[in-house]
Amino acid sequence: MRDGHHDRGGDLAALNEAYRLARSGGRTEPVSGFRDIDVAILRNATLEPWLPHVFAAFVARGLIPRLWLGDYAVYESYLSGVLPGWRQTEPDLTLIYIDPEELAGDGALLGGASIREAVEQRLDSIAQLVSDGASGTVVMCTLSPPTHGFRAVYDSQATTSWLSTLRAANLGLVERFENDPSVFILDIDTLASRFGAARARDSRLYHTAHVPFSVEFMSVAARAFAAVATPIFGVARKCVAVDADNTLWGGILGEDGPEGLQIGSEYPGSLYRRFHLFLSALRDQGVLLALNTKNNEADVLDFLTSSPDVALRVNDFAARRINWEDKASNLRELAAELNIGLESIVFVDDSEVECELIRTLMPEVLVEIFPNDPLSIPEFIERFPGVDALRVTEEDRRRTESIRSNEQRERLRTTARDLDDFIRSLDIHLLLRCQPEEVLPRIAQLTQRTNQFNLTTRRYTEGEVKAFMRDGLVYTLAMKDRFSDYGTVGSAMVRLKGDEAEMDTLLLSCRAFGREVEYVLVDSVLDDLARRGVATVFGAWEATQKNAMVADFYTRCGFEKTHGTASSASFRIDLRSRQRLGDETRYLIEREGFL
Amino acid sequence: VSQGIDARLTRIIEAIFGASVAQEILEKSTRGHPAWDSIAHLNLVMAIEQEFGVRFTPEEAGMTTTLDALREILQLKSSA
Repeated sequence: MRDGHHDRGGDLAALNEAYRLARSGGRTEPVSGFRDIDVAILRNATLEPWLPHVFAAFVARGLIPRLWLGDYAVYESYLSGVLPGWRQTEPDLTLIYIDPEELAGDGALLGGASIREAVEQRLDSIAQLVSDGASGTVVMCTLSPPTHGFRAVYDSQATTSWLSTLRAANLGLVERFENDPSVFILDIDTLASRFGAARARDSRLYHTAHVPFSVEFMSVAARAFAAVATPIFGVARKCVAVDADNTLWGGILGEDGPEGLQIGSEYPGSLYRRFHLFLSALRDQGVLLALNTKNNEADVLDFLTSSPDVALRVNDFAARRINWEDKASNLRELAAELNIGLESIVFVDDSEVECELIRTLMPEVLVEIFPNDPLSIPEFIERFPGVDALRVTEEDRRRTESIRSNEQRERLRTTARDLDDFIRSLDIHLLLRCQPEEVLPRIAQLTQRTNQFNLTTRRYTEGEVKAFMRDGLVYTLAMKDRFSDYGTVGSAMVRLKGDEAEMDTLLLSCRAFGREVEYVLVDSVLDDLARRGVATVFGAWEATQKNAMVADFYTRCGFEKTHGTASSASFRIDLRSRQRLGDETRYLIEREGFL
Repeated sequence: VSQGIDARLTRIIEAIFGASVAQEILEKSTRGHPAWDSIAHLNLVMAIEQEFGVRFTPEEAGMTTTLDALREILQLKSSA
């Protein structure tokens, strides 16, 4: 992002070399810290020169793509399986790029009612096949804007002009897939418009070789594609830790006083307020905000409470370190308090020195230096990496709320006599569901984000969870107590084979730790399986850097260990002779969809 | 200047084709190589344009399908 070749689209020789080596490497082992994914691209233009850019952009986000490119313009044949190739690659992710000028030919100049209808019909037939039969996740590109006006005045007046056709088609794609759990939009139209439509396409490359992107735009489009893939495949960061002075506002609270700070509706305060609104939107989509600043705590809390100009309040921050300690120690404490790893954190600070300190001491943390010039804040926000969400779930909105009430609960725990009393005093209400299609996005999110209490750490997309439900059983656990509604916090995914069942996935969000609700989940699942005629259940633990806490969980649930090493273990239980776990009278329990 | 061009050109060809194919291309510089297909040619032209800060016309890009032709046109462009 910051290399000298950035504006020229990256060092092309180096990009080509990296991509060539990656393809010819014959690597069979995964690369630590990276995830391999199969990516297919269906297209009607020459996208081969774009692939090295896509490769580099994915690698920068911790994903190593194996790229497969379809033949020109045969979307329907691939999607319906008439033409082999696409299905056989079993792509995790398929990009569909439709170049509007290649699609419509002369119509892309002349427009007209019949052209508009033809474009709509073609998009409709492709979209229908995507909804019906696409395996894996699909990313659909919007149609790119024309580089030059043709009848510039007329085209803006008529609903059947080419310009209007493009606008309607693009809005139609967004509307069509808004609620489809496995299809997302890559908005090439907006990207190219911001970049400059005439610069986004190189006339010579397009007219001589049908390459739809200029070299400069190739890297822009590739980064945007990788940004859409990132939240789907689960390498997004969970927490933004921000500085206060010259970051949340212009000026220094301790020196300029609350009256002297720049924040509000007038320049330059309006730009700092824009950053507040951005952080607030991230908070709403489930990102945790943390405050890490060298200041007098009382001054900062007072300002965030009383200022009429701020858009973030004290309670929007899930955790705070407002003191004169070094920021690295503070960050370590914040991570511990929020129960997240350093690799989940983005650190934002305007000071070169603080940024360098964190980069040196904590290389896992993503460090973003905040701009000195407030006019650069909109661009800083636009490029802010790795925390973008595709869809905002109800649970996301609740997360900060529930983490904050964890503090209140901890206080209660110290006064409760023992764990049993503590659990009873919380008035915990549990809702267990079997095959709950309505929380698909949340189940996928849990598989992507849960690290500690996760027996096998298999990451699934929404589409994959949905597919799993067809042959297997998916259970969820939702929890609320007197402090907070946590939403769905746990899940079990079970594969069935005759009278045997295999626990593919068993996980519990760290928000639900310490209340023994995991035993209620396992008990309920095993009971339900027994009623469905299952006699034996198999479970496994697969070690990661984070999940040692559950290495013997199945043993605690009464399973017998049949095999075990330091990195994995297998378990089994006979449902005809098992004992129930825990004391269910401590909770109020409801079950939906259970036999 | 000419040697500078050769070294930079060699680096690009090696990056795009890999060392062994690049070796064959550099040795038989007057004839095309099977690996030098239309896509490789596109990548080559774009990388050369970036490296040397030049821009080929469509006609120039179309003609320069041998190493000698590339050298010649680069020399012309960089002396201009």
